[in-house]
Amino acid sequence: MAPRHSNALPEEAALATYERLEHTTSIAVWDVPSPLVIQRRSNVKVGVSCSEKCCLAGGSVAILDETGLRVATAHLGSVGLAGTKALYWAEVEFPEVIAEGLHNWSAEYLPPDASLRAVVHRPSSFRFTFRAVRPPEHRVTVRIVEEQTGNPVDDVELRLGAHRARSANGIATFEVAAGTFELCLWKIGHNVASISVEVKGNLTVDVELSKAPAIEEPYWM
Amino acid sequence: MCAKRNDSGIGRREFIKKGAAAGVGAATLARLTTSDALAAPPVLKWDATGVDVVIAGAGASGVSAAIAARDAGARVLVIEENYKKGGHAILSGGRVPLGGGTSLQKKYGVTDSADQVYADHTNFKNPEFRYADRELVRVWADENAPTFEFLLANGVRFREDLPQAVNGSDVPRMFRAALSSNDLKETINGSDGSGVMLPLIASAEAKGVEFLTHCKLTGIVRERPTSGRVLGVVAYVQGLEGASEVRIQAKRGVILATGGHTSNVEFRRMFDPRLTEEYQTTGEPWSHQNADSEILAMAIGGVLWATANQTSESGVPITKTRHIGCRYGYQNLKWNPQSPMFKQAGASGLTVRRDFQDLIMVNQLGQRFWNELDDSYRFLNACLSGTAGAHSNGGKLNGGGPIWAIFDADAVKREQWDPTPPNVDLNGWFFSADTVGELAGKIVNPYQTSPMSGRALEETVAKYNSYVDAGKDPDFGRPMLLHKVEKPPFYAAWSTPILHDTLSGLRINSKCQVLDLQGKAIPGLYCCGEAAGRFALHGLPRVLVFGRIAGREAAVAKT
Repeated sequence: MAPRHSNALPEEAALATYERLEHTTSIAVWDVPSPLVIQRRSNVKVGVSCSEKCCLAGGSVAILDETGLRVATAHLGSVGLAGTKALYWAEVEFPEVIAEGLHNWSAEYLPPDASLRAVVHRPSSFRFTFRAVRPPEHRVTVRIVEEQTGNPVDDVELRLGAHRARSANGIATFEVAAGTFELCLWKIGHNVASISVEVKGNLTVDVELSKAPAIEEPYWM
Repeated sequence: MCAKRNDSGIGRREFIKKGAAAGVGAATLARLTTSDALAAPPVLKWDATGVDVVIAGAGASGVSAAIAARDAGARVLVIEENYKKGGHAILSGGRVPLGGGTSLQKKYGVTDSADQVYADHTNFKNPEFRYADRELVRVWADENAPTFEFLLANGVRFREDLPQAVNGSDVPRMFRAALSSNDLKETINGSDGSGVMLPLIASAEAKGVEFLTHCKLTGIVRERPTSGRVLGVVAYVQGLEGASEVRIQAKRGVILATGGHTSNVEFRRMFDPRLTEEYQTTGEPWSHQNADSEILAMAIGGVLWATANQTSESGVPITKTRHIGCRYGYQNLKWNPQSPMFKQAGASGLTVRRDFQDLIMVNQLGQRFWNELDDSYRFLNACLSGTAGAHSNGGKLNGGGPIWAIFDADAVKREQWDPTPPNVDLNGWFFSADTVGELAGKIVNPYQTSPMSGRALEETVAKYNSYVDAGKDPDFGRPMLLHKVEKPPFYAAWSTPILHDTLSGLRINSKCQVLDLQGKAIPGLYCCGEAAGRFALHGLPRVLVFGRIAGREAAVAKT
């Protein structure tokens, strides 16, 4: 009868299995262009963090479209993102998007082959979205003045359809395709303004922003 | 600290000595509960005698009562559980909307009358006043102007600003007290409420009112358990060697002015079972509204009244947090790092300036639950809903659990925040991480009953970001979706609603006598301030007026 230990794994292999550590990872995706213009290449940033703050420099990340097709890959840089503990990141070139509309994609982290490593990083993924629009055809200029004074209003945040902008010197501009969009304006202390804008050519829209009425302060304590 | 001997024998040393001899343990006052002495038996031996009126609580109502009682010739002792006088009110905004034709109103050409004040505060269209007991509103209206003059006569000074119209009235009544000291040791947090309290305290002391701090009311002594006259109080005095029990006789009356009940979880849940332990209270950690007055008075026959006021979903008994990432984020009380209470407060919080446009809010499961821009009771009700609790802590259904504001590095830039101490409290109230998934795992807080799933928070953020792309929030209808939550690092900041006003309390009559279930006055027992019910008016005007009435009436009560 063979000694019992003859069926066991070699000591070295058993030790390696026993000591192998698994770290989880997680992903952030930012600077996603939205709206993104179809048929144009863009960039997105993808960062990966290890639960134990390991250096993940050189690791691979991939972008997958809504069908699960891997459309872009990149390697994480050697320096963590400023302001983070250890978020290794890469700028990934975005492939051309063909279809208009809201896209639901994902980024995934592909850890290196773990067979000979003491620390294993588990793969992770993160869903992100963006909106794709037709190439711009026209410029829409929004001129914003305060209703009471006629003075231009800065730092108004605007949406024109999927496009977003902020006013400077009372002016915000958009480059958009033809169509009808809802133009919304927001600034703290002012009433939200919302109007429908039909864009057929270059266009200037004048908006008077009114101050919100002073609300009786209900909190006296 | 008061250690002098006086006619009534109420020097601190005597108290502590007597208490120590009685073998009282060294429990801190903060840990004491009124249940320790609920049924205080009649005592034949008093540790202190010679006091006409004993007042529990040195806040706005208690000090007003003390001055009024002293003005009427009574010998007055005020006991206060805190180390310093001032109560809740010293941290208040110092706004005093008392009208009826005050001298300051006249100075600014405002025409007003007690009748107009009464009419404005009984308008059924205002749910804050809908459930008010008219008898009390009437006397309050009649005493508006005299109370304002009382404040002026006792040293309170007001800013020379045009008065504001408040509470749905067209008549300008609200003046704001002028800050009387820049010393945070005196004002505690530099609030204008100290402009009311410091002059009143100084006036009271100058007139001979005696104060005993570190002294907590724990019992009311009545001739028989639920009948007869109130004879005095039992209290614990905190000394260097521990807490000592003392019995203080009150020849004419005991005035309960300990504040309301918002800090007492079990008591506040009598009105609203959702208000479980995770909800912090305005004024804490400086002042605690422990329902001492209510509990002790109820133990000897007092009852609550007009309790609908507490849950009418009007006024500000519950508020949206405005300073996030700290434990105590009531919007008009931002803790100053130089405050003597700052160590207990922990952090000042990040003040949300842009109408909550820069963040999303999630429950302890990492799920959004409402339009974050809303600050109405619909938002608060969503916060307090049982959704979060139902899935955790063994299926606990009450309370909404922690609410966390989730935001990113871009939001920090837009709001111009510095997300580091002393602005944020890293001991369970503020977290940061490199990714959203990692952030969820970092959230550890005494009230977070189960870990937040990283995947759940990631899904919430991804969904919200998709709504920003789409320009529509189909879940909660949040308007103007301007910014995604996407740029690392990410943050989670405590944003759980803060409890504020006590709007319901003991039943009192127009003389501030505490009433029993039959509507009869309990002889010798008075109540004022937030512990008194029947009238759901927010802030200083209610407590100042009824404090003054209680003191005046107690001082002339038959012995």
